[in-house]
Formats: sequence, structure tokens, C-alpha cells
Amino acid sequence: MAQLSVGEDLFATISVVGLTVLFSVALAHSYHNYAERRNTYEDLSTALDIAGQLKNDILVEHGKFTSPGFIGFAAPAELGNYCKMLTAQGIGVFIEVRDLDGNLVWSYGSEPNAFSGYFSPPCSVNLPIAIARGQGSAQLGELIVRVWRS
Amino acid sequence: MFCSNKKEKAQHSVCAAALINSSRGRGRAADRGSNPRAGKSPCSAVRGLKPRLTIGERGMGYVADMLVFALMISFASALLVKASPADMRTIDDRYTANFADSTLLALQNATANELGGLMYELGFSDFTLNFPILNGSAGRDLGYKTLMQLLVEDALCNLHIELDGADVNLVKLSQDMDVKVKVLLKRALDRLTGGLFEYRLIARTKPIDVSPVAKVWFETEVESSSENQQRAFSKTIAMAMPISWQGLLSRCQEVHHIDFSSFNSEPNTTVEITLELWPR
Repeated sequence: MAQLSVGEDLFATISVVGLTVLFSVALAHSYHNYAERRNTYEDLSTALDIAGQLKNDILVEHGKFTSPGFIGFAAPAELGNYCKMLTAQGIGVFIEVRDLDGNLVWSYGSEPNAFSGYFSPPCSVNLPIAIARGQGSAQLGELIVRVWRS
Repeated sequence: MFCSNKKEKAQHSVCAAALINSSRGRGRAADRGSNPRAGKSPCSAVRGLKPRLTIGERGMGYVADMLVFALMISFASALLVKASPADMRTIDDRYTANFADSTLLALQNATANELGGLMYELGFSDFTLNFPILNGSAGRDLGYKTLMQLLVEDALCNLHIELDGADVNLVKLSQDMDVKVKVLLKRALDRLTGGLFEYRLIARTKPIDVSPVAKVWFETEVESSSENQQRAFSKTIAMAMPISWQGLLSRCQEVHHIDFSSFNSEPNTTVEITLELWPR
């Protein structure tokens, strides 16, 4: 009877510790998922805002013909100030303009390093644009904006 | 356990210590049979109260407590799983809407020559005006125009005319253009959407009643899938035709000898271009 009693106590202890650990892990996992969803939502929302502003304002070719979504063949000077402003707010950004064959037309900024990507995985959005080729010609392309928390 | 005074508190602490000692030595004492109070709480012996729970019984109590605790944690986890700052579909929807907007803007600015160009011969049905005397002048190269300009021009050149509810097949010299513009737009949209979205591009003008029996309109459609989606995002832009209705009708009057003088139309003709997008 005495051995059984000790066994019951041991079983109770193991059950209590096991269940505590198990459910604590479950709670931590749920919180991790929740935080990940919230971060993804916020980062995607930020990336969309930045891409929209770049496409409709910052990168627009200022020439005889100006239209939102009509991007110059080279990165404009204003882009530097805009990226500095984002960096001051703790947002890292890497911008690429590619044609429809995937060839790089131009890019701006530095890609996120592995360390910053660990804490805030970069998220990217791509939007269709038209790239000015000179003499009234424009080709289709895509604007890729990668955003992360620095 | 609540104690009203210091004496009671001290008594209880003695009882607790005795309980632990008793439980540890319970087995041996019971074997020896030397302790007549073996298995009983010392407190009950001291104070004559009900016997307390043994550690084995309390262990089961802990398990029950843990189960309640686990239930509460499960409830909290379930709340966290369901809780979200916003529905993730919202961001998908926002991206799709942005993509539709950007696609229309890109089509307004991109020229046809960057997508292989657009050339066609003036003609109708299978007959083209390819006489040697014309020396290729029946051909039109519209590569310098943007894709949307081509769509609007297509609308202008290929208007449908309905008389008494029946379509009238007029001689359309730019019939070939309609097909080629559709092919060009489909190629552009296929490459822009990159397999992420299905699309439907519709260009149409409002039907204009030019007489009690005659109606003029234009409608064309380029789509990747014929299925209808309940959750599609559409963006519509209106583009002005390069010619007013009055100018257009006066030209029709010259060619077809129909009197449109009594017709009061809107001065500006617009083509509504709608792009519907939905995720694959």
C-alpha cells in the first residue's frame, strides 16, 4: 500500500508538471502565431502603403507626360530622401524595378541582412507599372518593394 | 486555512509539519504496528477534528486543479488562435484592389511596340486591301500607341449598330484590329498577373439611341477564365474617344446616307473600361 501511495504521488507530480509544460507550450505557440499574424498584417499594410506612394508620387517620371504608375528608367533623386525618412521611422526598404522578363532595370537600397530578417522577416509586394523607355515608348514592368523593421 | 490568532497559527504550522513527518514515516510505522495513530492526522489527534487528506489523495486534488488550469489555458489559447488584429482576407483584398488599380494605370501608359507591336491591314472579312498599287499603304502600324488608346480606337472603329433589334453587319475596314488588340491585351494581362489572378477586362460604351429603331454601342471582352466569381474586385476608368458623337455620326451619315440630324447626343463619348480581378 505504501509503494502504491508513493506511486500515486509521483504520478500526480508528473501529471501536474507535464500538463503545466504542455499547456504552457500550447499557450506560447498560440501567442507566437497571433503575434506573427499581427506582424504580417502590419508589414504587408506598410509595404502596400509604401509601394502605392512610390508608384503614384515618388517614382513618377516628371517630363512632358506625367501619370501615376509611369516610372522613370532610373531611380530619381527624391528616392534617397524618402528612404532616409523611412529608415528614421525604423523601416528598412529595398526597391526593385524589373521588366516582365524578370530583368532588373534598377534597384535602390540594401537587402536586409540575416540578423534583421530573423526578428522581422521582410515582406514584399509587387505592383504592375509602366517603365519609360524614352521617345514616348514605355514597357510594362513590376515594382517590387521589400519592407522590414530595422 | 484562516487562523484568527497567533496561537492558532502556531498550532496549524505544527500540525502541517507533523502531517509531513507522519506521511513519510507512515509506511514504516504501520509495518511496525507501534504507533496506534498511524494513518491518522496528528492534528485530528490533537484537536479532535476530521482526518485530513493524505498526500496521495491531495495528489488527485492537484490533478483536478491542473485539469481546471489546463482548461483555462486551452480557453486562452483558443481565444488567441481566433483573435486577430484584422481578418487576413482584408489585406488580400487590399492587395487585389491595388493590383487592379496599378494594372489599369500600367495599361494606360505602356505602348504596344514594347509588347511586339500592333500592325494590321485595312480590310473586311477575309479580304484585305493588298493591291500592288496601294504599295502597302493599307497597313497600319499602331505600335506607338498605348494599350488603352488602342482599345478606345478599337471601340471607335468597330461600333455595333442595331436596327430593329438585329445587328447590322457593316463593312468594317478595321475588323482585323479588333482581333489583334484582344490578343495584345490578353498577352499583356497574362504577363502582368503572372498566374496570381484571374481577370476579365471589359470595354463598353453606353448604347446610344440614334433613332427610334437604331442603336449604336461597343462592347469587347478579354478574359482569362469564363467562370463567374462572387468575390471579384473591379476597377473602372472612363476614357474619352478621340472623336465626339456628333463628329462620328456626321461621318456615318456621309458613308451610310442615314439622317442623324435630329439626334441630340452627348458631346463627349466615353469608353468605360472595367478590370475585374480575383485570386486564383
